[in-house]
Amino acid sequence: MTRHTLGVALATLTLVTGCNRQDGRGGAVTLRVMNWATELELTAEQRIADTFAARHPGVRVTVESIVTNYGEKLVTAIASGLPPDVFLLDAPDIPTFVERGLVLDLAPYVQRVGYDTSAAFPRVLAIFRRGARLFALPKGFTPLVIYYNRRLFAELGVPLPSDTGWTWEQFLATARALTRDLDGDGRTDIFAVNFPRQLYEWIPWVWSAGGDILDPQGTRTVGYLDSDPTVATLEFLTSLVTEHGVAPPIQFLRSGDPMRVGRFYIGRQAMLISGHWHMPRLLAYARRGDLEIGVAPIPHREGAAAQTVIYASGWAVPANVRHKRLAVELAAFLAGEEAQRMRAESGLEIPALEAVARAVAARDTLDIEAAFLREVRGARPPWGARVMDFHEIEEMSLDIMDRHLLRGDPVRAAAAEVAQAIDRVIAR
Amino acid sequence: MLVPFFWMVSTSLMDELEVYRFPPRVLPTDPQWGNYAGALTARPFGRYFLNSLVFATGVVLGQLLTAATAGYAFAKLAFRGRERIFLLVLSTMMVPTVVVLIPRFLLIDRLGWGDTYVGLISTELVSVWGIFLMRQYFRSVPRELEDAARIDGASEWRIFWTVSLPLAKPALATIGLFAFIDAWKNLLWPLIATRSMAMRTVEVGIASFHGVYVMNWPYQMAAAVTAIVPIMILFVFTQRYFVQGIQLTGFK
Amino acid sequence: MTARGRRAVLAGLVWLVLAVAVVAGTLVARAAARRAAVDLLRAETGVAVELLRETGRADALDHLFGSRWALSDDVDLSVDEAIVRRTDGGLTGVAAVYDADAWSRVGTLRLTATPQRPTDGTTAAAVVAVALLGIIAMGWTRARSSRVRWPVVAAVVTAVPLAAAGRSVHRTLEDATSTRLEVAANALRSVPDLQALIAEPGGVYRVAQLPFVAFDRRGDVILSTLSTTVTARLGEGRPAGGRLEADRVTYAIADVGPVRLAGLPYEHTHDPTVPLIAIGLIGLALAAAIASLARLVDTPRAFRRTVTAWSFLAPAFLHLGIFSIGPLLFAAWLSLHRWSLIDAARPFVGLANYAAILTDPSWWNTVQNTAVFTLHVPIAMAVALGLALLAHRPGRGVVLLRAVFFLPSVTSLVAIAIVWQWMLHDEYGFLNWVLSLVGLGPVRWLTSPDTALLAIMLMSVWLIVGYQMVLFQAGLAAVRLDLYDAARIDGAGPWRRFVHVTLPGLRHTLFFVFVTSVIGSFQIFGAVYVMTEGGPLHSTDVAVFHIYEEAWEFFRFGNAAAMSWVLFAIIFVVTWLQFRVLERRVEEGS
Repeated sequence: MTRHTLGVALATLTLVTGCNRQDGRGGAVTLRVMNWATELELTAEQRIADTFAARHPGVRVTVESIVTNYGEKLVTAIASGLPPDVFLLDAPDIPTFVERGLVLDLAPYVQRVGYDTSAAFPRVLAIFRRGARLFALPKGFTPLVIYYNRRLFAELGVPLPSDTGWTWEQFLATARALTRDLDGDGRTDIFAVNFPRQLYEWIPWVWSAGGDILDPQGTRTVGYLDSDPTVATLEFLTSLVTEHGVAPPIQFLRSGDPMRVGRFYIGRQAMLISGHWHMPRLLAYARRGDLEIGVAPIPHREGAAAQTVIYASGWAVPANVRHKRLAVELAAFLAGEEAQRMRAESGLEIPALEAVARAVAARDTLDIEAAFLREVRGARPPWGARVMDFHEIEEMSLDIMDRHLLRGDPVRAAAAEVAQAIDRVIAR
Repeated sequence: MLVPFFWMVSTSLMDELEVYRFPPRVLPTDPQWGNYAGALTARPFGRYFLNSLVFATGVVLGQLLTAATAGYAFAKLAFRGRERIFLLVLSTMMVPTVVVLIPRFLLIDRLGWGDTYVGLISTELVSVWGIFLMRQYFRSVPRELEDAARIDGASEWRIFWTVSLPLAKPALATIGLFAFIDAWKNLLWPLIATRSMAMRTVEVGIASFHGVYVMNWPYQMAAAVTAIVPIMILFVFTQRYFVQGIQLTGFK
Repeated sequence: MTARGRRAVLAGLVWLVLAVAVVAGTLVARAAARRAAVDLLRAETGVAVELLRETGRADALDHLFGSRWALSDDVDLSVDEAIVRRTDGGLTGVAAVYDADAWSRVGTLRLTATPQRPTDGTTAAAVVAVALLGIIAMGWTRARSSRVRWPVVAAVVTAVPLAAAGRSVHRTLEDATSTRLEVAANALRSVPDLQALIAEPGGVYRVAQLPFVAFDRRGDVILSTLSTTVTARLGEGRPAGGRLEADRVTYAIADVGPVRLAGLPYEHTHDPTVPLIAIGLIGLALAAAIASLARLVDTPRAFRRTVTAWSFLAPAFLHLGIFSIGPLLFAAWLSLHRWSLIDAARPFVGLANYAAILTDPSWWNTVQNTAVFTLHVPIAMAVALGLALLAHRPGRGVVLLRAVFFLPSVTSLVAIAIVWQWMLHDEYGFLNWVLSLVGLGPVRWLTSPDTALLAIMLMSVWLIVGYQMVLFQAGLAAVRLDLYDAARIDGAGPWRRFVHVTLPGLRHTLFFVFVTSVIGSFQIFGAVYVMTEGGPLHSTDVAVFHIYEEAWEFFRFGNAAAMSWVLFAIIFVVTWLQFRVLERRVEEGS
């Protein structure tokens, strides 16, 4: 009887709305999960999805991994009225989806599905919160840090950076000591650090100088992006290339010059400003003896407090999901402890659950994971998680240092002009 | 000319770290043949090759048919407004693909063709480029034979089929070849038009080694090198038709 | 068949096409109106269910829906969202009712509605139109002159009922949207618990299909920071002017103050404008085609030739109409709106997008870059032609040569762009290594704004040469060998043979390669996307990349569509010029 009614209901729905889809037919439910897993993570994600499906008879879970053009794919799926049931939400995309009301508020359900919010890192969870509402259950995160090559430091007789923080002056002194022309041909063979050209790389430097790029409400950049501490930071960073020559000549390629990480991998660059994403590679190299690495915080300006940034991703459910309960349960499972443990082996992100992250750190004999966890204290969520159109702000801000490095424009003037241009975009 | 390929093949056999060595390594010190197995099993590439093959074959057949008929009409048949209509057809070539992507996707989605071969192929069945090529080709072919057939009272379709089409083999081979290549190398459309992992194509698979933060050069190059092989075989195969074309038109 | 008979058949065809267009248009409009009614009911059902869950108070529902609603404890739905079922005499909205935790299903709520019949007037108009058409068509068959200006008449006759249908549906949909917003506003007014919910700062409140947005666009700031313009529009809960202007309307809610409600606007649901226009255009195009045939009825040969020609063109045209011209018109329509693809609203902005583009220096910078980039086409063609001549002889070595040059064309573009990032690397790159051998360099290929575009052009020549070479080969295959022999007998040297035999023989191919390569180069995207992202300092920012960013990174699809049309116009003019100037010469040569 129920079957019959269901069939009629579905048939009517098909006729009336023309938007009935394959799922739900014959009682079996297929849940679609969308993420951007590369081959490093895909196997684990598939296993996690299978585990969930095995515990829910009649439920199938398919993992759709879209590595390139993830945003396009997600937006098209939503626009065509066929969003996935659970999708991975990147912090900078939160405003895009949340402000348009496209993401389900999970706060009312977390207890029901057994997701313990207190088990997650509060600062990571906060990225996905709006007041009492919660729009995604965090998967993993990373603070921005500086990796360093222990062996190179030792070979060159340079003291290691302190775990507890260092000033710009200390950083610069270290960097200069590390920069070497080994064969005396006038060309630098070992650089100290990569040049942080993208906003996501330099924003913690600005914060650690007491500056910022937007007002606290995130509504304007004039007076912030062109303020003294921010300009001083950008001047300091560009001076690493121009004045001090401790960073390799400007790298202007998309996703960076391949060598900006490569140089660090092969020991031709002593430090690397980056996130946890490199850990799987770096650990593999460390295990076979190619590298010995450590992790230090982002340096701060004398008199200012060091503050780094946390980037995070979380599992979100579309607001108009068809199987709300199952989808929320799946999201909770994907973010839950069991899944996090299964995922931890891939090591691309730090697990968002404190216990799992601590367990990973405890297993890590190199003590790197612990250093990452130290950075979480005092770290800030990125602006992108709060501000609409941040992609555009990020894009436009590239011009400041580019103009200084390529055309010799003063940083202050470039910053002022770019800030005005950005404010015009925001006001639109 | 070949240096980039040399680099591709060489990199595909390198250890991950070797790629970055300075001065750059020309050859891998210890060829990692395992990269190929690793890359091709990291994603279901067997299925991807099949998908690409089905996609490309469907596209080739469709484009050959539409290009030959329309090209013939534009080159050999007199009808009102021919040049203006041709310019209209040509103008559809000037629309950037990124613009038509969304309406096309919504269309096949409404038709229920999302995530199917039909949906994947349907939008690519006509190539204005191919129509243009056929038009130019038919124009450069002397019309004596057709006129002879016309005097014999053959219908236009019959002339097209028995006289003109056989003469157009080089052009058809060219269109077929490029239709295949275009479909094979198409990245955005298969990405947008398919959902499930099992429907992805080779090009999407290759791009997927290029993560947001982490890249795997040797794997990506191994996959890319492998993807070249089927098309190169096709190319060498179609070579014969170019040569044949010379003989056919040269007999007069 | 006599000319008269042919004319009669054609007239009948025209009549049929237009009648089908009108009927189809009316059906589409009616379907849209019906779907709007369904949507409205679904939204209302959603609101009812949420109200019941949030407050547990049936009196709130009575207040809003009177006796239209009913509750039962059976749970027979497979989905969470409200659905609408067709029942005799009307529609019923059905939704699962949840417990207070919004988790377990406890029952089913049903809400009935009698759908309005908004498009009856258009049906009458359609009947009249079809009748009129019939009369015109009949009269036309008897007309002696084939110059009857009936296509104009037909256009008007078709357009009027379609426009009427569209207009009436538009209004129905608008009403549906504003009714939905009002239902929500009334719900808020009548239920204190909901007001308490809204009063909490910062966020989106979703009641079934209808999100209550109570915050400012910039983030956490809410009610208090509503801009004065919005506050000024506060009324009795009815938007200014009694009509819905946008998808977001501010209502005054007692005790809470102004609350902005966002509903899915009618455009997003089932606006029939685009399909109506499409149907009208298709109908007219077909009618016009038949009409132009009619001019030939007195000359049977021309008539037959044209029919034959169109039988050849039909497959390609059908496809182009659906998958190219359709989307293009969609883009044209989109370019007059502001739309983010995922936003519910698509407000009409007129020509504002175009105005913004034409005064935007960064857009003209991309156009300039694109134009400069196109200069690589003639260079590549010269190289390709040389190679094709070289390879245009039998032999194994030649096959290999062709294969080598063709390799770039078959390789994954992503892989190529990556390889070239390495080739052009300042320090690791092959190019700089070669330069250093002769004591030059290093050139900062991709890292200097002066050379980046040049570097991409260089790569593009490398990429495109093999493709052009193959085309030239196919073209050479058609050059008549006897002409060479004749030239040789005349004592012409290789250069003269090239100029007087090869080039004229290749003129069709040369023209083709030039035109298509220029069109293609105006659409350069992939290499820039992977290699430079438009940098450094916008020196490689080309038109399509700019459009791509505008659409997919900044979600301004209306703007992107307008840019596409501007770019389209530019390419069209360039191509048209080529046809005017070059093709004439090509034809003169034959």
